Amino acid sequence: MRFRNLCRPAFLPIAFALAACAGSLSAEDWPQFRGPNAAGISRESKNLPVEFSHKEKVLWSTELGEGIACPIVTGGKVIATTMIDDQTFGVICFEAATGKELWRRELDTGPTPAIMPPNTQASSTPATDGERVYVYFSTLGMLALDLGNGETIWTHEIPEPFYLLNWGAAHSPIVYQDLVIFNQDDDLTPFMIALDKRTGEVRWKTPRAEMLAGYAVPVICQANGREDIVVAGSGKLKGYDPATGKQLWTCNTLLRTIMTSPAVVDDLIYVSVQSYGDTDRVLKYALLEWKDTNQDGKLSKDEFDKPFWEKFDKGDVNKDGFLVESEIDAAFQAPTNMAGGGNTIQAIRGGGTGDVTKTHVVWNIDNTSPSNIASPLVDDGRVFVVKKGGISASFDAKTGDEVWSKKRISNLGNYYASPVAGDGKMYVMGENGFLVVLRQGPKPEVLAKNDMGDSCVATPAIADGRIFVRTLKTLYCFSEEAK
Amino acid sequence: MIARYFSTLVAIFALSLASSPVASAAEQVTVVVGQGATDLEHLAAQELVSQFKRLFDAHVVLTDFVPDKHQNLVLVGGPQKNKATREVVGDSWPKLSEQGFILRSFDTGDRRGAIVAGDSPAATYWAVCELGHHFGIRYLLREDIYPDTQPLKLTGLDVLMEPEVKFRAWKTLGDGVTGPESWSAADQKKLLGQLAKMKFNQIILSVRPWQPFAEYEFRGVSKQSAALWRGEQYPIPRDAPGRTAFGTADSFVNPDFAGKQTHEEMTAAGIKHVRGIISAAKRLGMSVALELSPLEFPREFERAIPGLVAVAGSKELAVHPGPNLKPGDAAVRDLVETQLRAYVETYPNVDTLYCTNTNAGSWQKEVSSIAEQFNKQRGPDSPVLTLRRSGASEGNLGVLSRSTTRRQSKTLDEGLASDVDHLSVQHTMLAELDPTIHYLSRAAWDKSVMARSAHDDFFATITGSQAVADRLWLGFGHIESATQLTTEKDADFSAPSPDMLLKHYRGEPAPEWWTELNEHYTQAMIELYRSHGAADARARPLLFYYAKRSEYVLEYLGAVKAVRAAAIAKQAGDNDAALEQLEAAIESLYNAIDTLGDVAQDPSDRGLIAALNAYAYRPLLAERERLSESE
Repeated sequence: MRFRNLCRPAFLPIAFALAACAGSLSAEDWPQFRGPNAAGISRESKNLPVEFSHKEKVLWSTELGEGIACPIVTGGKVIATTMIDDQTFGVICFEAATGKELWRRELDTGPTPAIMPPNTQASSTPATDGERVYVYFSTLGMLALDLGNGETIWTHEIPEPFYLLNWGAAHSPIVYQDLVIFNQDDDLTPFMIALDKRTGEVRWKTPRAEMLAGYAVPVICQANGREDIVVAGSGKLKGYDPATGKQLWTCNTLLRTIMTSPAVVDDLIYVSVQSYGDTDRVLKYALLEWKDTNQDGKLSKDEFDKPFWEKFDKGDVNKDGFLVESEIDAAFQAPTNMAGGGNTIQAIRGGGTGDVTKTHVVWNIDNTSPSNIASPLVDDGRVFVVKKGGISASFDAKTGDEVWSKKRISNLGNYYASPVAGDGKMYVMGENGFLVVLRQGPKPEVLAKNDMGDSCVATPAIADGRIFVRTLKTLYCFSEEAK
Repeated sequence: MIARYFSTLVAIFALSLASSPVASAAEQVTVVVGQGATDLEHLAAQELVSQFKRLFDAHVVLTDFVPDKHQNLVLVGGPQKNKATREVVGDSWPKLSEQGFILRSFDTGDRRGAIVAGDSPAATYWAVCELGHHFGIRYLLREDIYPDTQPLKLTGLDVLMEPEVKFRAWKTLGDGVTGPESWSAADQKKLLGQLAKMKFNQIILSVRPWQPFAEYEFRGVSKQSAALWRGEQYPIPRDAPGRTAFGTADSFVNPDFAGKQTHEEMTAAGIKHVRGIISAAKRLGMSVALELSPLEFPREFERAIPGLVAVAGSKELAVHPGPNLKPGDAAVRDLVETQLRAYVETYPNVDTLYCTNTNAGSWQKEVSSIAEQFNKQRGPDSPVLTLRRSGASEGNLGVLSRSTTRRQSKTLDEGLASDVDHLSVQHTMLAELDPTIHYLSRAAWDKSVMARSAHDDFFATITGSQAVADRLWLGFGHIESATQLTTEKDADFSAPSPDMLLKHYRGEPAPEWWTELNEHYTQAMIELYRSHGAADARARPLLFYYAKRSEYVLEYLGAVKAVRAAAIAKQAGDNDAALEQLEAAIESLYNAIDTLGDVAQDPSDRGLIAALNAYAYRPLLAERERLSESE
């Protein structure tokens, strides 16, 4: 079955965004990718529907056009994004209870960069503080739109990301206190930036030079009397001071490619991830496999897009116009972070200082259950993961012990969306358009398999007893309120 | 119709030129078509206008008026149809066949530009398309791929082309859910437009007795058969893998027949369908042949002639003379003539009737006699009935990715050496066909074109990289090796039939060639993904389609292997292991079909998904159920 893994470049980065503790948000909001702090959990919603479909219990629905970003919800409004045409990005605000369109912005993107399906150009999930909507698009940078009318309040240019394997942008902002925080781990100049949410001015910008392309959204971890911004990236989970962007700690236990986002419960940070290959498969091997077009065993400059030429020159130590062996490593992967592939599920205690690799890892298991894209759901004392084939597993959040292992959830296919939960139920969205509902508990109990009518990559949102599902083309609001 | 609107069109172009704020910044091109031009020549001129706008970002005016002075004139049509061409070429117009054409730069002092013309409307249309090829457009079966905008350059053209192969035919309709039987006339029309750009000049409509494409009566028995897909239905349950390719539809249908229930409704829709295809082909200057088997009839006619028996492999939908009927039987002869007449009268625009399957021993002479008489009786505009033996059938009719460019090159070389003047492409799925069709379309006009040179001309142009073309040569080489291997070892290995997967559910070791097959497709997929990452953006969707299809094939082969392993375990009495292998097969097959669904492009792709669900996935689920219950 080697071929499955060889397909890796075709599998795509999905957006991850993150939550916040902003003052003006209500408890029922779902203000960013995967809701509050990217946990994927609605604490307040009750009476969430179990059996529903694109024809049943539809409170409202609307055709959006193509996109895979998650809808967000705040103050009774839902915001979704879409590509209206090849070069027009749309941000649309709806009334959550009725689906009435309140405003829409159509933004000229210019020519859009290469992207690898199933990623699409409209993949970044917006974030909101209840007053503004913060929207990122690869060619536009970050925009703050007035939640009331969609008018642009400020725009901040963000360097366009570049990916060695053309995955395309899929990073999502979060709001933390008065900051809009945006982490952009690409293969060229990875960094994290904090913008003043009112003005768009840069508060701080922290290079993440050790990182390769990845899509984890930052999360907030309260531990040791602090609130840290925590970001999962190539090989390393890192904590940062929100006030300055200064790195506080690093835990060097991750893998090469990180597309999942961590989940935080109390002072523990949970990461589950699969990254192609064995632990010694560093980036070099992927580049020799996929970028060495003429397969001569060395990389030439014309095998890279122009933005990477400076890195190429830096790595080309003997200046012979080719990168071989260690030169490839030196050009693209930091020598201090030669992470490889594998599988891991781990719990790391936050609040540390310096290198916490040997001091803060609570548990770390090598288990083939994790997805490379769908993030873990941590709730009720268990870590739930799901991957291609609808294969699920659950682990004790305190110990990492298996609760159940490799149980199918009655729906085959790919899983790009991350699971979410509310009202004692887990909602697991398959790429084939079936949303599987499981009862939260120590056994995998499928309650329903609901047909959304179209392929779906976006993670659902839950707020005020409603479930919002964005299929490839349509936004649905499901609720027991529906007649 | 085109001519009627032409004046209006000219006025609109002129108006848009005058009002455009950026008119002065772009190259000005005037395309001149003759006042007596045919519809097809107007179509050629309009195609040229459309191409020049995209190629050069030029402002292009289409007119039948010849300006006194102009630097960028393009004269469309030969001297007989276009006065401007006549004025420029004088007596120097070359001797051309009906299919020959020229692309030639000219400079008369006041006027400069190019002549793009042939001695027939179709040849002129091909000349326009050849000019597009010269400027870097590559014609595919579903689309055109354009190069980046470039400076306009009409100098240096001196091309005269005559075909090496006079008849370049595309065979369509046929029989099967994965083939053109699933295509609407609108789908066919679009495809024919692409084929015309590649200078195909004939379509062959291959019909079966039971299809709803004609109606007739014989000795009190009316034709009642009116089935597509041999009467099969293809439901798409909501949990079917690949179902997103069908939207919210709950079954796969040819849209031209959607909702048609009765024989009358089906037949009316079928005749309209075929007439639509014929009309589209004629508009593009193609000749049309109808191909049928004159000795095969819908099964209801066994009531009219005792002794007609079921045709093997037709699911008893067709009958033909059995051993008790002898050549010379008057009733059979009358029925043959009745059927032929029905098709001719239903489709009077057809140019030729090909009669196949006439090599049925002693009946061949009989059919020859019928054909001779038929042709004597025909009117001046009636089609000529031509006997045509069944050719060698396409050995590999499977659903895996396939390529035959190198083999076609060899066949064509041999054909050209023996003065063969006819090539015919019989397809089911378009799938990986583009590079092969590109080769045939070029080699049919130029003996020096080889499989490799055509491959490079196609892929290096659209991907912007010779290195990528090199990788794709390897990738398609693996696909062709896999195609050849399958043809040699088991031509029906993946044929879309009801037992297509479970026929491998046999308790015997998997043949060794399966490993080789898997390796070819694995290497192909690697090369296709590698090429995808390095190609220009314009080619990536096509390469992604190829890559995903190779991924589908590998998943399908994984399912086949797991099915075989399940059978071996079952035979050994280990039902748990058998169930485990069946689960693995189900997952692989699900992934295979779902992968196809991600990139389905046309009705054949969707037909394949429908067939795999009906013939492989659902039977596999049923077998798992059976085995579970026997536990």
